[in-house]
This record gives sequence, C-alpha cells and structure tokens, in this order.
Amino acid sequence: MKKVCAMAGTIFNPEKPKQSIKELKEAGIQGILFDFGLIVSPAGILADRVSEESKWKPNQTRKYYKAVISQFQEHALLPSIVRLPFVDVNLNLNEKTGYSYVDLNRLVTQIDADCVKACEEMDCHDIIVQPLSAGLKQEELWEANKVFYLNLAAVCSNEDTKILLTNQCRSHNGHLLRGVCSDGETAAEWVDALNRACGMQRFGFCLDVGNCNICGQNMQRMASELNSRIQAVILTENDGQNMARQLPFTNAYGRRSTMDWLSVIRGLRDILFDGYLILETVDTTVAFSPLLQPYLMPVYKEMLDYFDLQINIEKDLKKFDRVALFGAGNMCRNYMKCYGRKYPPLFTCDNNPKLWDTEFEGLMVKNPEELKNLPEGSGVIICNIFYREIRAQLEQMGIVNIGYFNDEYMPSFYTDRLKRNTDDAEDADYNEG
Amino acid sequence: MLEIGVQTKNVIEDKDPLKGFEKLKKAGFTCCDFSLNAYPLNGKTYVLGEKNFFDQTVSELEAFFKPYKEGAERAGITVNQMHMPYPVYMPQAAHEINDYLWNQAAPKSMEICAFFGCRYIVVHGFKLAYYLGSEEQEWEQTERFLVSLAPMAKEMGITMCIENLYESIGGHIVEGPGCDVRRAVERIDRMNDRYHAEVLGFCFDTGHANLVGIDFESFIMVLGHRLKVLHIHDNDGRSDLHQIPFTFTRTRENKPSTDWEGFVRGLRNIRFDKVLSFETAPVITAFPEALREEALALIAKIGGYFKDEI
Repeated sequence: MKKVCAMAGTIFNPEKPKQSIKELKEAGIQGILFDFGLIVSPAGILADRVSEESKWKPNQTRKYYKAVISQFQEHALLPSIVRLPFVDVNLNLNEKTGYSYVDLNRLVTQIDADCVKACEEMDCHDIIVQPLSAGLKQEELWEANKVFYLNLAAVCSNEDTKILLTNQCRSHNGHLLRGVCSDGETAAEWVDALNRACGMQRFGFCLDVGNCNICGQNMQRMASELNSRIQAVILTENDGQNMARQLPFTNAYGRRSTMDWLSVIRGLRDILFDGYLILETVDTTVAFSPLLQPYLMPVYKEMLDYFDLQINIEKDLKKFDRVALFGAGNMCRNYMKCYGRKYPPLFTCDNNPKLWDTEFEGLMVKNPEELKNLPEGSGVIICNIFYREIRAQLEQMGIVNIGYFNDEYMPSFYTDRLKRNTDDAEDADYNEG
Repeated sequence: MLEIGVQTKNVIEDKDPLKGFEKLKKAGFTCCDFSLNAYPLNGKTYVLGEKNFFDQTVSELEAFFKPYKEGAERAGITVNQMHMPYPVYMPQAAHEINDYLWNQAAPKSMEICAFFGCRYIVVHGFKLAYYLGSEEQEWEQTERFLVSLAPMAKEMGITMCIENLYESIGGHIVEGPGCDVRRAVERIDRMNDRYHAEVLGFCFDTGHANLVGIDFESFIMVLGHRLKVLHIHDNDGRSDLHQIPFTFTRTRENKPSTDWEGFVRGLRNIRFDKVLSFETAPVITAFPEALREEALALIAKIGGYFKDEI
C-alpha cells in the first residue's frame, strides 16, 4: 500500500513548500499527491482572458509549475502521484461568461497534455485525470472522453505512465447527482476500452470515496465492479451534500461518522486493494488555525496507517504459520465468527485468571504465560481494545511476532436471531464471512 | 394510456371510505395506490401477545376491506397498486415477529391485493447487507421471500414490485436494496423466466432515487418494460420528505433541484403507459385542513402535466 497525503490537504504554499515538507517528514508521511489544480486552472485562464487580466496564461503556467517542482526536488520529496487540474462540476457557463464549453474542453485538453509531459519529466507515473463532462450531453460523454484520453495516452512517452480516470458528480441546479464514471460497471468498460485502443494497460481508475458519498453510493459494489482497475483511492469525508474534503470520521452526528466507511473497507478488502491510499483533508486542515495545523500531520499519518490496517485486516493473520489470540471477549468472538475457520487459532488467552482453562467460542482460554511455548513461526493476535498495553505486556514477555485484529469493520455482523431463524445448511454459513 | 393516481393514506378514512375516494376523483385522479401498509402502522407491525391486524382470517380481512373496495368502485377510482406492509423482515426481532410478517402479513396482503382486483403490490427488499456482508447475500434472502409468494402471485395475476430503497448512516441517506438497476433487471427477468409469468416487476421511487443522486433517465431506460409502478414525490436531497414535485431548489436561480426533466424523458423513451402514481401522503397532513383538497388537486394537475410532457 502506498500511503500519501494530498498536497492541498496539507497546506502547501506551492512556491515555498519547505515548511510543509518538513512537517510531513517529521510526522512520518513520505508521499504526496501533487495537485496541478493549485497552480493552473483552465476555467481561471479563460475567465481572466475574458476580463483581459493577465495573471493566467497557458505559456506562463508551465514555467510556474516547473519552478514549483524544482522546489520539491530541492527538498527531496518528489510527488508519488499527480492530479491534473479539475473543472468545477458546478461551473455553469452562460452568454455573459464570454467563453464556451468547447473553448474550455479544448483548453483542458491542451493543459492536461502539457501536465502529462511535466509528470513524466519529474518521473511521476500515476496521473489522475478528471473525465470531460462540462457542456456534454449524456450520449456524447464516451466519444468525447475516448478522444480526450487517447490524446493524453499519445503524449505519454514512458510505458510505466498510468492515466487514472476518476468518478465525478454532476450538478443539477445545485444538487449533486451521479456524474461521469460514477457507475462502476460503465467506468470499468471505459478503462478496458481505452486500454484495448492503446494496446497496453495505460489506463486505470482512482476511486474518490468523497464523490461516492455525496451520491450515497454503495462503495463495496463500486469497488467490486472496478476491481483491479482501481489503482488509487481518495480517502476523504463530507456531509453527503457538499463537496468538502474533510478528515475521515470528522463529519460525525449521533456519535458516529455519517459516511459509509464499512462499505469502503469491505470493498477494498474484497478486491485486495494495494494501490495508492490518498488522504485528502483540505477543508479540515484549513479550518484549523495555522498554529494548530502542524499537529494534524501525525493524525494524518495514523489515519493512513489505520486504513491500511483495516483494508489488510488479514495481513497479520496470513503472516504467521499459526496464531494464538489474546483476549476472550467480543472481539475474540467476532474473530471466530468471521475468520475462525480460515485462520483457526491454537487457543486464546486472557489476563483474567477466572477464564483460564475454560472454553470460549470453541477455544481454550489459557494463561498468557502459555504464549511463550508457541511453536516457531507462530504469532499472537491481539483481540482486545487495549492494544498498546497488551503489546507492551507481550514484548516484556519476549514475544516479537505480534499482530492486531479489529472488529469495527467486519465482513459480516453476527446476529443470533438471524442464525436461529434459518433452517438449512446453506443458511448456517451466513455469519462465517 | 397514462392515468394519474395517488396513495390513499391520509385521504381515505375508515369511517367513510367512499367520501375519501370521491375526494380523489374530484381532485382529478382516476387511480389510487392503496396504502395497505397504513393498517398495521409502520413500526407497529406486531405486538407480542396481542391480536394483530393480520391475525384475522382472509374472510375477516375481506369483510374489513369490503367498504373500501365498494367505495373505490362507486367513486370510479381504480386500485392500481398497493403497498405491502413493511418491513417484511427484521433481523434483530424475535422469531415470532418475523414468522408473523413472512407467513401471515405477506400472504394475506397478496389475498387483499387480489380481493381489490389490484395488479401490482410493492414489496420492500430486506435490508441485510450490513449483517450479511454484501448486497448479493442480502438479495438471496429477499429472493427467498419473493419465491415463497411467487406461486400465489402467478395464480392471482399479481406482479410483486421491488422498489429502490435507502439506508441511513448516522442520518446520512445512502443507497439500499434495489438501487443497482442492472442487477434488478437481471433478477426480475430471472424470476419471471422461472415462473413463466410476470410475478416480479419494479417500482421506481423518485424521492428515494433523488436522495442518492441516481440519474432518473438512465435508470428508467435500463428498467424498460419492467417498470410497472411509480412512487412520485420530491425532497430536498437530504430527507425522505414525500413532498410535491417542483417544490425544492438549491440555487438563487430557483430551478428545481430534482431532475424532473430526466424523469419525463425516461418515461417517454420507454413509452411508459401505466399510472403516474404519487406517494405524497405527508403533503396532506402538512397543509391546513382548508387547503387539503386544493393540494390534492395540485398533485393531480402535476400528474396531468407529466402526462402531457410524456
């Protein structure tokens, strides 16, 4: 898993990124998503041209982002992945605007081609490119985008360069609805058709869970439809209405996030996702005082690690020949329901002596001291929310093969009654993951 | 030919059903969506140890609904569709409750539907993806339920219609059963092939679709002939308000935030020729008593507008 923070989410001054890079590195974040949208805006260029101001000109922007990239090179933090400038889905051109959607899409094509060359020059090979949609009718989308993306593919000179399509919303009089590439099956067909046309795997997909959330989409299904085409995931949160970029779990109501993270995590687990995890949090970051913003960086690092843990919940289980559990409560129970058959533990243990030599969920509960006698290649999986304390206890005992289990996002959730109601063998497997 | 209907909840009263049906006729409707779900009130579908609505025999239920049937006939209102009480399965409820819902409420609802001579009954799919782990496993359970009723449906000439539903995550509405139109189509076709009859169809709910950003036009186009009934209503994109179409806006231009043009185009493209049925019961209680008939008439007029546009 490649874990990166979006540039805009970590308050880069693109021209003077030194301080941000230092803070990121101190927090242990080693990768960033470089966002050309902070430097160049096709709609901005056209608007300025109309108003006869000279701030934005295509020939100047290249000079500008070259200067920015050299700053990053100087501070030894080259972008891992890049996003090209996006057009605001709420953009609504009219006769007063002074330019047309045709002008806009032509300029987007020109700028994106230029940016792709710049990416290759800085040795960055994964590029997120927004599909064209401004001013296009539903029936025109595929043909227009086919030409657009194949034009970009023709610009690529490095065979490792990947162009990632991404799912969009569309605005219907201010209400954000499912837009281009928001249907997983159609998006998968687009990626495949583009790759066929290129004769190579030039195209992939970046799943933006923020956009999915605005449209209340089932992200587990979306992930399964796109499957291995998903090479990057943008982790962000919003209120389901507005296109905010918040830190995951911060749009909370009734003591819980209002975002369907369960479906995100189940989906990414199902497809064994191992691409870029991009944390995008610009609205949360900017909402904090600049005095407090540096303290967010370690949280971002932990957030990325947390999602890595959740998506790869089986990674620790696969790592060891055999496992023993630590904990004989609900988490242990959930382990046995969802993973007990696939990764059967030798036994579990608990610090409560009253539980020793009893049976729980088909496992013997033992004194933790028994863990010292585990066969070689075995690991201890902590099945208890007191992770840090138990880890310290195990390390004190000289145990080094330690893994974590967490039951917040299970492949299924156990209901006694559901099981009791079922009456055939097939039904008995419902909660077995 | 397109007709215009509305749900009966909050209009038809037990003490004088004919009066309510006459109100519908006067407002401009020719059809209704009989709110069978209003009898065992939502959330009060079953009380352990008490006599519940569907504990009555089919004959008793028919006797109960006879004045409604006669009232509709006398007023010239066709019962085009009805809504089976929901939920039809509650994963955390006692076995007795689910047994009652599955083996009493559901088949007796089918009997009542047939008694009214109604062709379509809307059935909510089970909401089990959270527990079971995927939408596919959820559908397996819904399918078991539908299969248990399919022989009755075939014999009675009734089409059960699954509906696009939603779930709530901390108050944020996300898609639920029936929101993947391609899968819905595949499942409907598979079941109808199995029974050599149209035992399963689809009910497109505009309000639920709007809440989860579904593109009306493409959804309806994929459904095609499987679209049998409609639940037409509007909302603000946040809550399931069941309000009058064209009510909500988001910008200073004050254009509708719900894609009614896409809705009309979709129905026109598939040559929809059934009933434009509104599910707008909350409108009736929201308006003052003195304006309710006018509110109903406005809904019927909007139906007329859609009809002309389609």
